[in-house]
Amino acid sequence: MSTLLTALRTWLVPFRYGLERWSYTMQRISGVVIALYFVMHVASTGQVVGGPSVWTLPPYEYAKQVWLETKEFLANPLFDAGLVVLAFMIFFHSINGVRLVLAHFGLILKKPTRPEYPYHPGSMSRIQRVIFWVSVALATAALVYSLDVFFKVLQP
Amino acid sequence: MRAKTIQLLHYITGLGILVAGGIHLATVFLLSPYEASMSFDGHPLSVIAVYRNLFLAATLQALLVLVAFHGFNGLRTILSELHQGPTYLKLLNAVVIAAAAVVVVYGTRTIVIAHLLGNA
Repeated sequence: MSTLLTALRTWLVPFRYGLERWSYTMQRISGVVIALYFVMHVASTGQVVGGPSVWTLPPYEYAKQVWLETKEFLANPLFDAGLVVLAFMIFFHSINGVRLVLAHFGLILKKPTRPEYPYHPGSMSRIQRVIFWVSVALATAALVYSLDVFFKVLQP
Repeated sequence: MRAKTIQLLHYITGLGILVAGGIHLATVFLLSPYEASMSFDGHPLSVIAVYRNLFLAATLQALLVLVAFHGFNGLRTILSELHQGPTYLKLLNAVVIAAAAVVVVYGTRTIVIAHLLGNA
């Protein structure tokens, strides 16, 4: 149990370690949430053809009826709020993921420097910090856009 | 597969999702009003019209496989840090592969049947 608590603490508590740790924690949380949403999304879109019991071509009107009922069930403020959070996470995870790919291939690393007092924990180069903040900005824009789609916040 | 190959595939699927996911989000939100995208039929990019379109259906199929690999491999990576040892890793790999397979099979069924339903 204590192993699990230690793991959860190192995964989920990003304080005191600089921007890279925040990026790590946010990438992991958003990744897990998107993966869980993906499974639910495949399950819910399965209703388009009439649900889990349908494995051959169903009658058109039956499939349509099941989809309309599913849509009605999914259209509530709680799920819509979840999609708004998800929009932020998807855009953050995508752009920050591009940064990670570039960094892992050594393309946007800074030159190593001699450690000098006071020691700063930051290991992200300037361009990496820029990409991180671009991902946060785009994610925020996606959040505002989806707030407008689901809650009509930008319309008079 | 070697860890090196899996990690490379994780990056390739991630970049592939940028393209396929971009097309998916564009069809639902940008190229058609959201209400029309969610309707079963009667609009150029309604649910059944998207599945009927071979290019968009193929994009959804690609997205399904790419996200299944990327997502479940991500979960596997995180869960592999919880416990050490070959038995745990083998069990974890088997569970993750089985779960991903179930999602891909179910999603493929939806895409194929909905495509046929659109053309029926």
